[in-house]
Amino acid sequence: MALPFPYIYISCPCSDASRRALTSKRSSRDVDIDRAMQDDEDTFDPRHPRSAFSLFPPEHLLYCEECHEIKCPRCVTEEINATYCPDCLFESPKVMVRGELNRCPRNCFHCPICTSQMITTSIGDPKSGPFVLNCNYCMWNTLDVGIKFDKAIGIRGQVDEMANGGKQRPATLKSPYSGQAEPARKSSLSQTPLSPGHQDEAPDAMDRSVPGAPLDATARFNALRAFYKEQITDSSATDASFPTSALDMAYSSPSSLQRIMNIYTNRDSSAKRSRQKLTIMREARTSSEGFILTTESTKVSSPSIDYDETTTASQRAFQHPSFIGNPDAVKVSELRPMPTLMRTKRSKRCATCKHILTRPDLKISSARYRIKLIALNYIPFVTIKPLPVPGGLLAPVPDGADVVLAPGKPVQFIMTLRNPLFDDASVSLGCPSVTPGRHGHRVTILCPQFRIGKNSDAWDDALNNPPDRGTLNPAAGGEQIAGKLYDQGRNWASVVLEIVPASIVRQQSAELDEDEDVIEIPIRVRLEWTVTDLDAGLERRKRDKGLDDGEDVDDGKRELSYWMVVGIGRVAC
Amino acid sequence: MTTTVASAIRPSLRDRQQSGSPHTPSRYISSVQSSPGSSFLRPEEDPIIIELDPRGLNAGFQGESGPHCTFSFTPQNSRRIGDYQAYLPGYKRRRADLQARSREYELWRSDLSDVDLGLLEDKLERAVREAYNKHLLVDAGAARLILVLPSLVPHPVLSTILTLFFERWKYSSITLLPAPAMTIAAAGLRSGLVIDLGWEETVITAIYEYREVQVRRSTRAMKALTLKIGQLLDAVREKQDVQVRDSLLLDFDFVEEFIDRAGACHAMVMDVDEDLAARTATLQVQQQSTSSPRDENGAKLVIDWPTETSYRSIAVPREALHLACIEAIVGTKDETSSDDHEQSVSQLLYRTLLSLSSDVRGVCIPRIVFSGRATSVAGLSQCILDTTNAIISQHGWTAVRGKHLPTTRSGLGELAQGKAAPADARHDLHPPGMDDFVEERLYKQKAKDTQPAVPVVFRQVESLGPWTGASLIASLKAKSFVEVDREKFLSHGLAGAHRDFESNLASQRLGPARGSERTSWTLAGWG
Repeated sequence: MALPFPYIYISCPCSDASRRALTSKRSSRDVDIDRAMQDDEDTFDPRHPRSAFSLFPPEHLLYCEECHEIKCPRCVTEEINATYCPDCLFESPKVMVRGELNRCPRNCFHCPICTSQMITTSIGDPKSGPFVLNCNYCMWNTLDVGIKFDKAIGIRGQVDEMANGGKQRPATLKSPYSGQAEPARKSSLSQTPLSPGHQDEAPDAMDRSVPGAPLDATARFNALRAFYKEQITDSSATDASFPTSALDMAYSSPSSLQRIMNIYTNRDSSAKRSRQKLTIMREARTSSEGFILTTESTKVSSPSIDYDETTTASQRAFQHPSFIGNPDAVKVSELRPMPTLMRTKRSKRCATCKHILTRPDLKISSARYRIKLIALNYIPFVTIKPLPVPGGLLAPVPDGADVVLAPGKPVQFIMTLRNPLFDDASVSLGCPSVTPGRHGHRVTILCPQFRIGKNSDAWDDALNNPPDRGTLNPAAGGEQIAGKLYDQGRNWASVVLEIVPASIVRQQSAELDEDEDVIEIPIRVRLEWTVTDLDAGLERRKRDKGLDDGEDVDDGKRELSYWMVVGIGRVAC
Repeated sequence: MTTTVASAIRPSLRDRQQSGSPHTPSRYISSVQSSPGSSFLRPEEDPIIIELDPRGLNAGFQGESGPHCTFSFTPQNSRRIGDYQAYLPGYKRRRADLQARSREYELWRSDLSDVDLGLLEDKLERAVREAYNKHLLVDAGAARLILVLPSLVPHPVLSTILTLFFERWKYSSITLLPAPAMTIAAAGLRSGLVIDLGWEETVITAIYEYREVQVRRSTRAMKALTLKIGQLLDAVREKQDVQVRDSLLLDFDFVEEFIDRAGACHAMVMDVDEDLAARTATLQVQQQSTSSPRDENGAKLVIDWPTETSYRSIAVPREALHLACIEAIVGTKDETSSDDHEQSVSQLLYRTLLSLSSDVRGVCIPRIVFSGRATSVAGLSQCILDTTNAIISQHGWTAVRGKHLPTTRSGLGELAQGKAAPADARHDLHPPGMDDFVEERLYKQKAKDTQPAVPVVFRQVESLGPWTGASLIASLKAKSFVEVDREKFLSHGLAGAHRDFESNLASQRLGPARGSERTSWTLAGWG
């Protein structure tokens, strides 16, 4: 696995619940429920494909104080507090974000080839330009697609107006800032009685010049939508006995008034009108209506391309959405630099009780949180290291090298649990004697049940314990005796974990599956503790609540159990 | 596998064109309200459109011309959180059996016997969460959801998907739209034939007035092609030197990318003219018994084949690619005995057209829309149409085959061909009203606009894809036929759907209070 050995993953309990809920939904399969119940009792299998979705590094988990449960990203709801560009750290107001299409509206761009950040550089005079965007990782720059900028600021606006090759994008294209008003505005313009003259000519001429160039997806979409709108209004509001209005149907009220009048005055025209109703929506016919034959568009693109010039699937996926990038790009030269995708600061709530779990500081440059209930403040922090015996494994060095265990040879590890709570907690660890999966490695926890002290002041350790105890402890724990702790401190305890790796037998030609040789041990951790009077506020609240209804008294007892997966190392083979 | 499913998606449009009863003014007022002027006042939350198919998910906002993001279900996306080993320098891409490996790239299969619905839920949840958090940047579940689905989704899968969306997020209702009809809508058509060269199956759907009238499927699709090309590449790899051979990687990602890229540069399907030219060129070369490197390059495609550390350029013969592609998908014109499930696409197209009534056939032939991943393979669609054309010209519109047929066929063929004339008058032309002069004048004026009828030959129409179609349709405020209400679904599940949706449709058409709250819901074509 990617994390250096040894590592810890924790399975969020919500996945069990969801599994059971899902199977119990199907009443026809009662057998499944029984099996699901059994599964719950059964060992957690870290190899199961579903486990990948319920296992999280402990740092990713939150804790809900109301439900007393671990919360993973799957069982929280999120609310967006602020949206910002991760490159320039400018915040965008919520109303603007959609208009900016969730992308940085300023100068931040990413390389379409390697997706790293691009910088603006001058290719002439350092002050007056022209400027290009340059990727310092793969050395791609916008000159490769023929884009140059006159100004070094407002790059996004300039890129939006430019097609690849440096030509102006057709004006009918939807510019991101004018939004969707385009077709509607056009229609209202053409109907304005005040401007019958030459002013209308200009946009029309522009329209006519467009069909020569191949429509891009956005232009086509807008054309199609305008066409459908027109058709719907035509077909729904046709006026039978009023041909002129039927032909250039307008939304102006006089005609609709007239139509309503007609219904009551021309009674005999109803038969005609029913036939007229057959002026149904027709289909698009010309490219100005968004209709394109495939042969037309394929002729435009040159038939033979070199293999090296083609784009990869990941490059195309990076080009979404189509009104900014070009997800249909066939050639590398059709790719476009992509403005940086904005990021959000989100607060998280428990999905069941709506209690806030985290709330970030609203300031973009600050990485702090106002509220943050992370699970590591409630569950023991687990560390693992090899037992320092002569001839044993060396402690892992932080170079990312794999820990390799010899098959068949018992190895001991020290597992230390550190209690973050301000109360004593009793811990019981459960673990299958043979790990699930194809290769059963034998596992023994020498002391599965113990108590860990509270996380009191660090000085307590020194003050309360007589100095000779420190020397006594290793003497007692240095050997591995079943049922005894290896070592113990103020708020921590260590137990010995013994593993006998199974040898992996395989055919000569067969290749191991990914991570098949990794030893992962599922351990059921069960914690019990009692919230003491230390946090008086909580107690008081509890007492108040107790006065209200006697049944709901919180006795302060807490219980938490979850599966933890410990990755130890690889088996040599 | 032939199902004649009519999934009516837009009752509102159909109502308008079919109802002949006298109308009350109230109906007009509603249409006035939906004038473009109201599009200025966009609602606070735009509905989210998610297109889902077994390989991936596209998500975006209604009214936009393309999805904001796309997410494919790959093993890479199914790793644990914090597992970045694929990016580590020492990571080894495994050479796995493509067939077995391809399962990890699918969200579901038609054969549900070994599909883990829980895993489906997990994958989908992660994909949707990522789409919201990374790309859409809106609070999940606040707006309405429009789901674009293939027209055939196994019920357990559909139930799992809907349950997940309703339970994980607080959608008030989910609208379902069928992908083939959306593809047609995004092409600007009302009727047509959608050839979806999908992943697991090629689905040919005949659509008439936005309704599916005929669906045929075949397993000759991208999965078959991927496996085939995988074998071919493996053979190419085996031919290399011993040292080179073992370092060359051959996994699912590479094969799939190879198909995309080779397809884009016309290597998968060669142009017929180019093919001929190349052949004559090689003939000449052989006669002169000199092989120039340029011709060598013409017959072979040189690619950068990834190895464990870098790349190595390897030549792949174009001819073999072409043949593999033809064999896997297109088929030949005189293919006779093949299983119904694995008919070649050209045969399937012919059979589909054959089983259509002649007027629908006449409408569909000039309106062929290709969709799906294989559209990126340049020339493939034209190749399919050419092969089908050859079948048609050989056999005509008859299902009868045999030795003695050719003697008697000529007469029959003419008859059958005559039937295929464009008989659909409703589509473009209107009968001239002869009773009064106003109608006549109106007709004349209309006739100026009308274009001549489209000749009945194969003609491909470009579509913007199902997602965009759904975005288009949804932004026109057309009410969908399948709208699943949260409370009703959570209390009854899929079993609560009304089976008899045609009667439901009729009652809605007659009922004056259309658009008000529905008492029952239906799954239409998915039921």
